[in-house]
Amino acid sequence: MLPVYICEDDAKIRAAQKEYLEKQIMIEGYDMEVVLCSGHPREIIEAVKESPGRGIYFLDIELVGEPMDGFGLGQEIRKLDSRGFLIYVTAFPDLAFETFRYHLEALDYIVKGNPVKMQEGIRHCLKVITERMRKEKGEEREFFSVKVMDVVKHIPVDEIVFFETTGRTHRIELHGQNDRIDFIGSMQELEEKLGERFLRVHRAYLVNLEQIAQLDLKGREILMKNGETCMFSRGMKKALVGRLE
Amino acid sequence: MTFFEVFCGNIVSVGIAAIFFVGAVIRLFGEIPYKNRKHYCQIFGSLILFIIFCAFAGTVFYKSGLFATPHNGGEMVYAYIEITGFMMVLRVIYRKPVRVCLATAVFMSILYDVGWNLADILSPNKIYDLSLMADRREYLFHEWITTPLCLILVIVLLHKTNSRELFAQWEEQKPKIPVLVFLGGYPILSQIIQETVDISAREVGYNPATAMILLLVVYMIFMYTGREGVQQKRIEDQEVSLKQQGAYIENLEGLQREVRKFRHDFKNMMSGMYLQAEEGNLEAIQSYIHEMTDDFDLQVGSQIRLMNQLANIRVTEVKGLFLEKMKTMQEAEIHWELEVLKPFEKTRLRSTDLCRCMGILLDNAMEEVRGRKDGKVHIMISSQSGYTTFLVKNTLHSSVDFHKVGMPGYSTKGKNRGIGLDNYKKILGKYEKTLPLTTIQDGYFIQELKIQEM
Repeated sequence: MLPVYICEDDAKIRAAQKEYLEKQIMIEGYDMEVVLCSGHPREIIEAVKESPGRGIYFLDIELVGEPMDGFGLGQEIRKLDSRGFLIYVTAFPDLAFETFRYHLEALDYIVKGNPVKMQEGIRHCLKVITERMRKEKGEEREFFSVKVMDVVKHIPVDEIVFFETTGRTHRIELHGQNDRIDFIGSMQELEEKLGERFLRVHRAYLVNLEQIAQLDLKGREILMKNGETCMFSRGMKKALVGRLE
Repeated sequence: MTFFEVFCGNIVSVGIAAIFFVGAVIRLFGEIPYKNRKHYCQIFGSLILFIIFCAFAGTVFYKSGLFATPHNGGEMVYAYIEITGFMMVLRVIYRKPVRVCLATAVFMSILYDVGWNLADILSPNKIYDLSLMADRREYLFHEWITTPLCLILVIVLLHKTNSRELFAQWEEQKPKIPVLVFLGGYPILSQIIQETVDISAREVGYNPATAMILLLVVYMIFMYTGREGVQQKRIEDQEVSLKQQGAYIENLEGLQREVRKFRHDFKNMMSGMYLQAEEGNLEAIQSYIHEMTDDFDLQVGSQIRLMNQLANIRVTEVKGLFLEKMKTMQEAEIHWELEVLKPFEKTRLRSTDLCRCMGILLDNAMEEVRGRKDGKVHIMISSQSGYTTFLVKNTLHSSVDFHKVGMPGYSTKGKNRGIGLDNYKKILGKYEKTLPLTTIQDGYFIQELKIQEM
């Protein structure tokens, strides 16, 4: 069961949200429950601390007279619940939502001025959440997580083509099917972390074996499935051929 | 001559020099500031201290034979003592920064030498044996009468050639370390030139002094043209900021027009609503209110929102860039949004480099969505806990050969394009702790630039 938290400083809207959420959960038979409605972000944080786990959070952005705003509360919640669903509720439609999504991986936002639209937003969010949960159960995809300064990026391991060292110390470039990420790290650590599926074919390259399309043994070059090429060192030839057979 | 006699004589000479210094400096810097008794006392005290100290040093140097060291070593040291002393006096009088005082003191010393050399030409006998009475008398006449006259001439010259303005200009630029080093080398340099002239007088065929002087001239030309360039740049900067302001005002005027239009509609709606209220038709009133808020968002809200976000960009150059791009995007009818949640105050990257990077990313995004109805450009600037993130996101309409992005010459827009992202990487290569990221996600092409500020 997913706990639902509401943080909203306006008592009327808070009550309306709670009422509609409970109604919706009942109608659709979702496996959720509204556990806490509060106007104070501290209470929410305390409650999350007490019962850790994945939750759904409807957070007001403008919390008047509180020590933190919705953004700060979101940051605190993320520290405790990295996989929870954050939904922001705001009176202003000109919300900088991209920033919320970027830093907090917020799911969506709802404008509260208009009750009809708010209800519509809540319905939509609950739907999206259940859908996501169902999808997650179905697939067991492995993700490679990398910290890029203040954010963490998750890339499906099977989408990684190869890693390459760049000219600068400790700087590694990830070549993915849909990503190109520079980050700070060491090849050795990556090798250990990623294990069997990857092979260090060259001092500068750590290659996903499943992504190899073709080998040019003479030119000592590997053609990857996405069209990029990597070199491999003389000493790795045998190992490489052996692993591919 | 006894020590005391020499000391007394020196006091008069240094006194004359000091009076000249003060006179010349007033010509350069203008009136003495802070006119009060205490300040005058300080000035007087420092001047007297300066005179006594210099005179004492001179006497010691003379008596101990230091002035007779080869290559005029003693005189050089003495010149430095004098410059340092006068620098301190200047500090007391004008309370200007040490650098300015130092440069001015050197300049004074040069001026004094000019005056002194002028007087030197007038005196027939150039080498005096101070132990002989007749010679000494001539020397003192020269030192106390002709020299002061020539010094007065120098001050008059300073007065006539609006030196004060020039000096003020120079002072505004803040003397740089190399200039100070050069100036500080004056006593040594003048000695070197002196000796090279001496040598060239003996040897025929080459003249190091000419080379030195030419070098100086060239140096001056460089300085001058350098300044020229600086001024040019300043003019360009001003033009850019004028343009920015123009764009800003234009935008505000647009907003104003829209507000006026909305006000008109608003009145109509209000009267309509009033009628409905009289009839007690609640539903109609509700729909009116919805319509009105939606209209407001559509007409005025988006502009205000944009302006609010722009106001959070506190780096002038970046703001200018966005104002400019905003104009082009509005002209090209590109739907775009800007998000700056928290004020973006500063960044480690030089603003010119940052603007070039952002310009490249924005241009690329604009190119991709230009002319597409459902095209969108979304920009985010986020500065949080020591990191700054720039995110430029646009809808993707053509297929991108992803791995080639950023390679020189690759572009989805045909040949001879695609230098942009290559340049972008090159610029970032100059900086440590900046990371570029590229992602394709849900039909968007996303470019991220992350900067660690500390």
